[in-house]
Amino acid sequence: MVEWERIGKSRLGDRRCGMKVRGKWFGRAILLALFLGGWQAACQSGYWSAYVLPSPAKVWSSFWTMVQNGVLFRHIAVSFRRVLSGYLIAFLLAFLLALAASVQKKAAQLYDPFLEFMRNVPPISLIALLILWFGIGETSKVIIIVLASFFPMFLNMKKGLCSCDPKLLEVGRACHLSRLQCYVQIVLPYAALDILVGMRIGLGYGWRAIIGAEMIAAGSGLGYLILDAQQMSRSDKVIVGIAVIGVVGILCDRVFSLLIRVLTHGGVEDSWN
Amino acid sequence: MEVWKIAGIRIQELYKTYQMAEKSVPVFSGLNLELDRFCITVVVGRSGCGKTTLLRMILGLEPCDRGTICQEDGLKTGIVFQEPRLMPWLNTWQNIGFGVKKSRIDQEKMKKLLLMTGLAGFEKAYPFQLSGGMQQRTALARALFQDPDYILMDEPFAALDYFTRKSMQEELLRIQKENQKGMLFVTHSIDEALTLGQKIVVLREGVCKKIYELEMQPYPRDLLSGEMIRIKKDILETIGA
Repeated sequence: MVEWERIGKSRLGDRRCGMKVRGKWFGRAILLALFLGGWQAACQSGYWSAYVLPSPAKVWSSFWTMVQNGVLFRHIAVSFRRVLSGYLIAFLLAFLLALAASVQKKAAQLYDPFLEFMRNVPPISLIALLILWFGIGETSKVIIIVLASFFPMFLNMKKGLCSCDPKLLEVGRACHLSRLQCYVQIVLPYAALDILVGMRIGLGYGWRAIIGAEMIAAGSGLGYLILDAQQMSRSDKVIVGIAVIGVVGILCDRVFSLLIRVLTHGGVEDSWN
Repeated sequence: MEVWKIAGIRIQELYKTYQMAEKSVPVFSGLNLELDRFCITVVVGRSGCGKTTLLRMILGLEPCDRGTICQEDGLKTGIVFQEPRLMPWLNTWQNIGFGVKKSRIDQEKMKKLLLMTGLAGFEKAYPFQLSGGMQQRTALARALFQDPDYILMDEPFAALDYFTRKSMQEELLRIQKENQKGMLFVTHSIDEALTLGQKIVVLREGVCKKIYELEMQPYPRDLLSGEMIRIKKDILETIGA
């Protein structure tokens, strides 16, 4: 009887949860429809010229043309490659420096002032020097991404690796684990959530820096698409570029969100909260 | 830690002082104690008398100012802390087997421990899904899974309800009888000390004030018997209640 009641309750819970999810998506769809309707109405009012505010239909048409001739995918692929290269380098650097800070606290004292200095310098302000030093090739573009995504990753990783609960470390010692075993079996898993959150924020920052990176004499990429469209007075293409960066960013973010949920076994519903 | 040819743990002339807000608080001032390898020793005393510090010092988690703690050659110690201290990212099964190589995990022993601690069916549950009592039982199972020769217990049953505590105490006595393990049990409860202890040590003013030998008292003990009530009154007097 008790078992049946439990099953009954669980099914009721599932149904309620399903309704909640459907309601959420329905609400989002309504909001999107209202936004597009308002946008279309604003264009039809004639208050703004089609150059300043292209209609949703015009933006969709440009988007579809770029999808059909494959131009958009080429730009996405190029930008993705740049973001990923810069992001991976930034991850490696951030992880190694955070590791050094957690293993040897004095090591962090050496490089902390330099990192603090660099953290407060906007990556875009370095473009002139980067072109001078590394030319207009891929290197300078990747460095911009590295500079943008390094700090959120480093700060989160350092926090995670340096703030391990000493009570858990004592459990390791009581279980006769070596220092290395304690690090691998306690410190790293304890910091996993902070590391993942840092990686998630870092990737977002990488995508945000793509415009700056592709301002350096790029011939392709989403940043180039936007800057080129701006110079050609094609606001519709500018909006397509912005929207695609946003969507690709959201998709990457969802992957991390899923990873965090899997690693925390559903214990943390959303790491932003 | 010096290794002597002894059976158990020997504490000699132990001194320890904590510095708190520019004030010296002495915890031990020449503590001498012998912990028998096959005996349940229960330590009682007022809050702050150094019960937990004693366990931490035996385990090497806390340094002493002066004195020696010697243990039998090759004696393997395990501990159950006051709080469960479970790894939040591991499930019950993994938490119990923590510190043991996956390939060396004895499945039968694990199942036996899960049954004994009433955790069967919760193997895949994570600490945040368990109640406080279940978490503490997982911590106890983790200590037992390491198969230590001597178990240090820091008020392990304080968070458990009456019935679970009673069954865990019975289980502890059974383990001690079957495996001949030594235990150092710290508790606030005089009744718990009388239920479990073969030797009750009263800590006061940094030294071992009095030791009660209860080896002749058979288990299960009737705490309402005249002899037990007399010992309880005496312990309370010694503690200074």
